Amino acid sequence: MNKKKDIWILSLIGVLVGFLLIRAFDAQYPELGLGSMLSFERIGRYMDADRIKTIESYLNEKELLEERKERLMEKLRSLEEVISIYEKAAAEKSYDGEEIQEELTNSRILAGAIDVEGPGIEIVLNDRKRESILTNDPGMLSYYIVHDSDLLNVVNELRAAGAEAIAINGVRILATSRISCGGPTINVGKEQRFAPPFTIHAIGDPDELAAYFQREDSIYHTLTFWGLEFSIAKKDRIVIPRYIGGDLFKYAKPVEEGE
Amino acid sequence: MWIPILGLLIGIILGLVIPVQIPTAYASYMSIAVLAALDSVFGGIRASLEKKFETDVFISGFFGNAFLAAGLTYIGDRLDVPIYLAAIFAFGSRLFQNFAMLRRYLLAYLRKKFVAQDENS
Repeated sequence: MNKKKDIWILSLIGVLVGFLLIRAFDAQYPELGLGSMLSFERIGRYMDADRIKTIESYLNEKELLEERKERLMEKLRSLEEVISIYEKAAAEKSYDGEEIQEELTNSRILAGAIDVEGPGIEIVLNDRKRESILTNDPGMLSYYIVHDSDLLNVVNELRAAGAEAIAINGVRILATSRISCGGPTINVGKEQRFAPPFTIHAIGDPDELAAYFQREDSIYHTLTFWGLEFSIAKKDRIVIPRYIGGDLFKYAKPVEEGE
Repeated sequence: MWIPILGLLIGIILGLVIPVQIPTAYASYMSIAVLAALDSVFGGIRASLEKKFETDVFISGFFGNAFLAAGLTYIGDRLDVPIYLAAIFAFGSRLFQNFAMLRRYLLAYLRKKFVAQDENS
């Protein structure tokens, strides 16, 4: 018997067994990622130390941008103060200036251009607690989470109950604000996206606002039926910040007289 | 003796590197074939310790068992009879038997070696 030849054949068999073993494992458990564990991409990623650097630089950039935002906000507020001084001076000069100023303030509240405060309610909306969900059926799971339509319904009911100013997680809701689905998050306003829990502030008569959710067909009953967190707290003072964003109107212009 | 084990390691690394996907539908046949192959390997090691190893017997057993096991599993799937259980039973029990024999040979070898050492010292 040729011993040397046998060894090589056995080695080949060994290669085959090892290969088949790993392949069989990979086929049964693709989630282990055995199939691409040593692929060139993955090895490159193991060695990629620059990645951490990139994350750090992004974090730095974010900090800088936040600082800059803060500074710009301060500038905005000081400029607004200047405007209000001018407005007061103008109101003193003309005889119906005070009326005009009141109207201006009303318009500003309506447009969300200034911070407002007043009595109101605070609603906290959250997904059903994970421990209390006993099903794995993805079809059922969608009943247990807060959707964009739920938020829209809540906002709509608040409006129906007479809320004068509404904010979701501190973002002022205007007539032009959207509330839409953003995958696992919900888009609110222009650029903000939030994950649960959602805190909704509304200024208005606290009793009226809270009572509106006790109606038979209120969204409150639907959401609490599915075990979602929906708490309503009456507050004596609620501060709702102004709308922060670019120009509100780019295309809409007032109709000119005589047209 | 060590070259086949080196081959096994190379095979494992190749398996990790080469992204050949086996369709999930065939994954169970693959597993049975691997079981049969493992059985052959253990049988081969045992035979070589007993100095009865014959390469042609080993290779034909290796491939023959693997294909037979996969084929039986396939037929069983078609006929809705779990024939693969027969393969698992046969190869599995033989695997353990072979391993038991291997253990005895290894222990006997070690015992001889150390007892011999003791006598020498």
